[in-house]
Amino acid sequence: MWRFYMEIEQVKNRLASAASMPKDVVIGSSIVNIIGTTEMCVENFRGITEYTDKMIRLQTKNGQIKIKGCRLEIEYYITGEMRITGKVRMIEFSEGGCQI
Amino acid sequence: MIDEFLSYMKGYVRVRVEGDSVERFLNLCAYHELSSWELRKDMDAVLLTMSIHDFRKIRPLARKTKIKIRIVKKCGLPYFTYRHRKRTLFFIGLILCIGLLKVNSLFIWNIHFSGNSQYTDEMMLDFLKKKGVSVCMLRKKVDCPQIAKELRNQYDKIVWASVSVRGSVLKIDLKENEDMICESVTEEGKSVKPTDLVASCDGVVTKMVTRRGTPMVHEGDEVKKGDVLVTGRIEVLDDNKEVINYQYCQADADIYADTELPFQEKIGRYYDERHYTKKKNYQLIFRGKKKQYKLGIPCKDQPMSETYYHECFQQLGEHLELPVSFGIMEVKFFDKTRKKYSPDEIRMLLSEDFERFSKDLREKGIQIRGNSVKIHLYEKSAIADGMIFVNEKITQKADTEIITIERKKADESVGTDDGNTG
Repeated sequence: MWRFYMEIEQVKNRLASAASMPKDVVIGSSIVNIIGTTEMCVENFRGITEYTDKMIRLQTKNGQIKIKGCRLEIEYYITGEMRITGKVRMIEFSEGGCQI
Repeated sequence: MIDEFLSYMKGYVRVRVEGDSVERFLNLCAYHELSSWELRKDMDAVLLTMSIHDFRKIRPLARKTKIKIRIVKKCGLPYFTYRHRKRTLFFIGLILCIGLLKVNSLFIWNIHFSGNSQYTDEMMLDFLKKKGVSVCMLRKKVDCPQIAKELRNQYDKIVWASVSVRGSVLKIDLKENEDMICESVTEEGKSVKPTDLVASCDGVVTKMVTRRGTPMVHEGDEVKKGDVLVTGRIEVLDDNKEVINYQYCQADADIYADTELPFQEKIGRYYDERHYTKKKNYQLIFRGKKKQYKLGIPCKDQPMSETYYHECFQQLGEHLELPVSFGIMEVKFFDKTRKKYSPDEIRMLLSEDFERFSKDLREKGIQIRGNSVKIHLYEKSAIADGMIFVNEKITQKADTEIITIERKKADESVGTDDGNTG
């Protein structure tokens, strides 16, 4: 089942590349914009899994994004978009994930 | 900035969210499009800010996720008005202020002209006033295309006019025909009477540049006041060098001559020296169109006092002068002592007067060659008297004498008479 899912994802990826379409729309990839190490903007995610002042874990369609740092604050949070401020030390991406 | 202002106007709350599933609550808020900002972790809880409108919708979500919500701070205009609801005067003042602003914005408070060089603002303001356009008129009564049309019709030199209302300012942009200045001069040359240039005073001609007309004197000639220097009558000669007609024009020339100017200045040797006392009197003045009101302790009329008025004439915009003014009236008291100028002092004063007179002459473009001014001291007065030798322009306009020549029939066939014969 997982393999079949991966194959569909690969096909979508190739189609998006061939048609020059944005992958965040076709595959649902997350967009992470980071300005220096103090500010970052995350789009196209499903929700927050964990929030502390040292770590923010976000659930995306294809996995999870883990942001580690200190004094992490969420400047705003609306559907599928948030801006994080504070000292960002590490961003970790992991495939698969849990349901929220 | 705008977002902050809008948030303030709508009102917002800072809340503390506590519980095991705060993240789930945040996700549900986002899912239901309830925006939250400034999220910060505080111990086990999360502090966040929400608008009042969204805050009213979170109760079911909080119950679902079993979290506790506590309001930490209430901000914004709705809370401000609620807190100060008993201060009626403040709100009346606020409403009055807004009302006055609204009423004032219905009127034109300034008329601004730009691009006019030949017509003054006052000239055009008078014209517009006759047409019913002035400051303090209602904005909705301003007909911009009509004003532009009337300005163009009234003033020939205006080739383009744009009238617009910006806020409470009536903005009039103009473009004048610059070529017409030269054209008018040539037109004047044809229609205006011919003129001679005569000497305005006695002197010896030193420099002469004739642009139009027939010169009657040369450099080095001595001229008397009223002598014709350049005539506007030009002779038309035939092949035999005989005058058959005259052409007339306005003579134009720069003629400089060495002349003499008399100088006399008299100063009395006795004067009153004023010693100002420390005593002063101040009064506030409010002056209307006809009446004047003073506020303060009036002083007794004393002959030895000087009164100074420091007034502010209030003007709104460029052209609207308020009919009232206010200021301070200052009365200074002094004592007089009769004194006499020493010979050195009076010489210095007369020298200063002479220098000032010379400076004025130089500013007018008159060149000073020398002087024979001497100071004479008498018992009661001192006089500076003498002549100043200058080099100045001595031209003065005078009407040209029109001479008529009776032409023979044979001459008429020549047809050279294209002049402006009288």
